[in-house]
Amino acid sequence: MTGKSKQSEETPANRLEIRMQKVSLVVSLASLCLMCFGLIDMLLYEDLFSLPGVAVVALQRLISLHPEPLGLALASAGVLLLGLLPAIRVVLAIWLYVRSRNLFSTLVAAVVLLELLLSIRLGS
Amino acid sequence: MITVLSLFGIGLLAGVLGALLGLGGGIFLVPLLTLLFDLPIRVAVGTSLVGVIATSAGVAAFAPRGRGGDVGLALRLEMATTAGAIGGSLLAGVFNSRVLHVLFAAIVFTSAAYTLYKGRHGRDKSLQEPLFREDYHPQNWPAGLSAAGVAGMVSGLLGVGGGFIKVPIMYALMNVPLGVATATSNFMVGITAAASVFVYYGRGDIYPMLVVPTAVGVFLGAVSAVYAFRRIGAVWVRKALVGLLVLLGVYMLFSGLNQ
Repeated sequence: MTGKSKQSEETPANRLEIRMQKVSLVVSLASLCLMCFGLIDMLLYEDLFSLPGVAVVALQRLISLHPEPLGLALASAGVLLLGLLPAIRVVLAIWLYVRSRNLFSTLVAAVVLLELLLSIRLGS
Repeated sequence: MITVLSLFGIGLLAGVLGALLGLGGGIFLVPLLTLLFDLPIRVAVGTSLVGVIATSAGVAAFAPRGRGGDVGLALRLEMATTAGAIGGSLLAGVFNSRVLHVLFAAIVFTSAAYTLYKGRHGRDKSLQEPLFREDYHPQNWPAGLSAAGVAGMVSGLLGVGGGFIKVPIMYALMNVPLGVATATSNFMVGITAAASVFVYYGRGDIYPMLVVPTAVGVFLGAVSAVYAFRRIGAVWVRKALVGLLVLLGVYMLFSGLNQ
């Protein structure tokens, strides 16, 4: 019984689920922490409270470490990190499908990733 | 501070309902944010998209082992859904709003009726229908992929996550257990929302003061829903889904006819 359950835990689908769970937990908690620290900083020190408030910092400015209010920059980075999570999960699926030599599923996941990139490109 | 707490509360509610029903929560967030805070629709949609990703992340991170959704099924369907969503977003300017609302209502009513029919027709009287099981084999792939493409098209046209179409497709059309369909839909709506969120980010339609309390509420709501799911039977989830679909259909039909 133990051997059977151990064997069932080692299937590629289960490995994928375990990895995705870990990645989702780490990335989502990191992004929520960034967002919360950013919000607290905005509320306490930057006097930026209003609705809808100040928009997120542009990606280029964030990457180039352009001087921005710290809270706004942290919250923006958190939003970006959370937005990247679904794409990270698709990349993870591709990696695990490649490792298990599952060609069909690799192709399917790669098509989804390409479509995701295309839609981002079309949108920008 | 009251505003921040209100946003958190709205997010919590949307997260619970969105994760429990596999909808993502955007379908609740957009009307609530526009009605209660008088926000422009684009700002509400941008906030909602981040919320949908938070729902998907919460479910993925805390779902019990074996209940995290069928990733293979999700990715296969997402090929059609994402392609449909791209096509739908490009076509969004062609159709007038009235046609879109009535189309939306028709699809929602059809999904509700079919889900109800399938639940009553297929239920074994001696056994309670399990939410999760591993011995299922998705069927009707051509029909399922076509419907997923249409769901994506509707998502792109109407700016919704589309979980309320995806769950009935998988459950009623492809014979996927309702719990698996819901968890798989939660995975799928994250991908669909991610495709749009960067566009909104680049346009400057995302505001941390709105997004942060809402997303934190949604995440915690989604995590709570994961634990609530263990205590709720398939019958109640199906009833909630059908009830919600009928409400949405009536709302969209009246919105369309009044334009």
